[in-house]
Amino acid sequence: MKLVKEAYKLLSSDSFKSILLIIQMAGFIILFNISLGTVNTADFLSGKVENTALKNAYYYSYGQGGLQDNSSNSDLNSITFFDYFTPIYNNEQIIAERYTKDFLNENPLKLKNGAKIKTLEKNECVVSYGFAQAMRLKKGDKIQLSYNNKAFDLVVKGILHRDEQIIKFTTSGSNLTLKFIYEKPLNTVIFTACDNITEEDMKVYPCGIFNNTNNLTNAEIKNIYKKYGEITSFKSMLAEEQEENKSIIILFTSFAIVLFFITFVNVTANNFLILKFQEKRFGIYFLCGMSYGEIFKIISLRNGLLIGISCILSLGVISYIWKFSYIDEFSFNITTLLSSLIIVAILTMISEIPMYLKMKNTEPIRFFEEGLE
Amino acid sequence: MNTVISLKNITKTYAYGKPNEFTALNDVSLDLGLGEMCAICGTSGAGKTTLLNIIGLVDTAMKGEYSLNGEIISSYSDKQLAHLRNQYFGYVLQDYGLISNETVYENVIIPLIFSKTKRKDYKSKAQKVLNNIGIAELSNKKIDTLSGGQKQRVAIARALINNPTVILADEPTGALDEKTGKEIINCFRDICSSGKTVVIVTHDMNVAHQCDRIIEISDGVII
Repeated sequence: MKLVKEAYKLLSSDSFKSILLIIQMAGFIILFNISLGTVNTADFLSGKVENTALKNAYYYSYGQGGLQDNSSNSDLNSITFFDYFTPIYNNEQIIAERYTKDFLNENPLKLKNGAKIKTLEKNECVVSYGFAQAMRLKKGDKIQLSYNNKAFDLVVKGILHRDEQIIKFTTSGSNLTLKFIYEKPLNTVIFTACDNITEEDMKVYPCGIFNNTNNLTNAEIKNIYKKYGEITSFKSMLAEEQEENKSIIILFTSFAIVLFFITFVNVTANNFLILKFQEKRFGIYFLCGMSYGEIFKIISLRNGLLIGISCILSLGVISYIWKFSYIDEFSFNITTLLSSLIIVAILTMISEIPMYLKMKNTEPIRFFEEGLE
Repeated sequence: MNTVISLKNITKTYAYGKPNEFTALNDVSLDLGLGEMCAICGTSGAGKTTLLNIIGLVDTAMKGEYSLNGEIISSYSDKQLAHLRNQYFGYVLQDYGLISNETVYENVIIPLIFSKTKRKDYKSKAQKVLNNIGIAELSNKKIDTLSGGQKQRVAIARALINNPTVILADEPTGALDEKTGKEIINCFRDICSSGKTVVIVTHDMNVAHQCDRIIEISDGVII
């Protein structure tokens, strides 16, 4: 404890350098986590498509009022997989999505507790993480929504995981990407069937997946669907996603590597020179009975404090990015954070080696001569 | 008089084996008694500070034997020597050797940090030693607000806080005016009369003549 206080004094005696080192270490931790967080999300979204029947399907959506011409639809084995409408809950408009049972079964949703849900019985629902937090909802709660002057009740069967992403309704354009059509839902309720709500009530913004079992070409598909909105294959979205993610990952990883080397050089130089910068203090300590080994301990403890403060700072920034800005491309996990902290700790320990060797090969009085004169 | 420190055939060479090899002390033998006040005198580069550093366990001799209270400590480890420095020696330097952006109290308790003294006893010990030196009212002042004489008294207080047996002073009046210098030497006299051994390195013969013994050193040899 005594040495920890001395380590803190060392840290605060040169606050500019200390702050610089903390920012560099925290910067590396943040970039490392964002980099891997982006990889995790990319893999997560790719996994939703690659390992499922969606890989060979097409996404399409059409505007309010539904299909204009049903006859073209029957040749193409298209499926409306969810209906999207906007009921009221607690005087606020929210989003409700009615999934078909088959779609939910083939694309299970990840819940807060890590389990995956594949089925929802009539009048059961799952709610999005943010919605549950805001409305203080928990499993088993009953919620009443109103729509078209009708009320309908649902029981909360589960709360979606904070990082879970679901396909959203959009008519935004043909160059859709996975990142664009998947999102972390905000105030959203998902169910498969409910009393008191009819098919007509829910067909406000239907959204579909076309399976192309007749092996039509892209041009033929686009030709048929041009009057209904846009259509994009999941395969092309996946390819584009992977290409785009590569660039993002390379960018963040490059920044992280550059910062890693800058930080390493800085920490090593700082450790090596600290005996020079603080020779008077250490000289006095040495005169007063501190052993050589204790000097090394104090410097190591100081480095430990640097890492600790960097960790707290980077946790704060990462939490903000993850929780408050609600960026869909980035997810956070404790393994990545611990890995980055271990890397920083190892880097710091390695950076102490030159200092340790210099101390080992130099008589104490030689170090502190100028400080003691 | 009881011998507290005994040096036998001490030799100290710097840069041994290199072109700039230099012998600062050559076959020096010396006994220091308990309660004795002695001065080490000599010209610049004679080896005074080297001898003081060896006595104070700040530096180690290449050859020779060092006994402290009858125990040979020549081959003690760094940790053991640090403990002895903490318990048996107090150091006073020409430029005071204080940390200027800290308070008098924070400077005075430094030796306690490396001793077994409990934190809760720091305040009482510091208060006692500052009272003895006559600067108790300066406890919370920053070092850089003090005069030269006050700073040197703080350094003496720090040197005394662990109740060491030996006080070592390297040119303690070098940065002070004559009047203040006399006050500091009187302070050392009082310390010596309480039973401690005081060793003062000085080139000022006026200071040296106020000591019980003068040890003259020239070119690393006691003359």
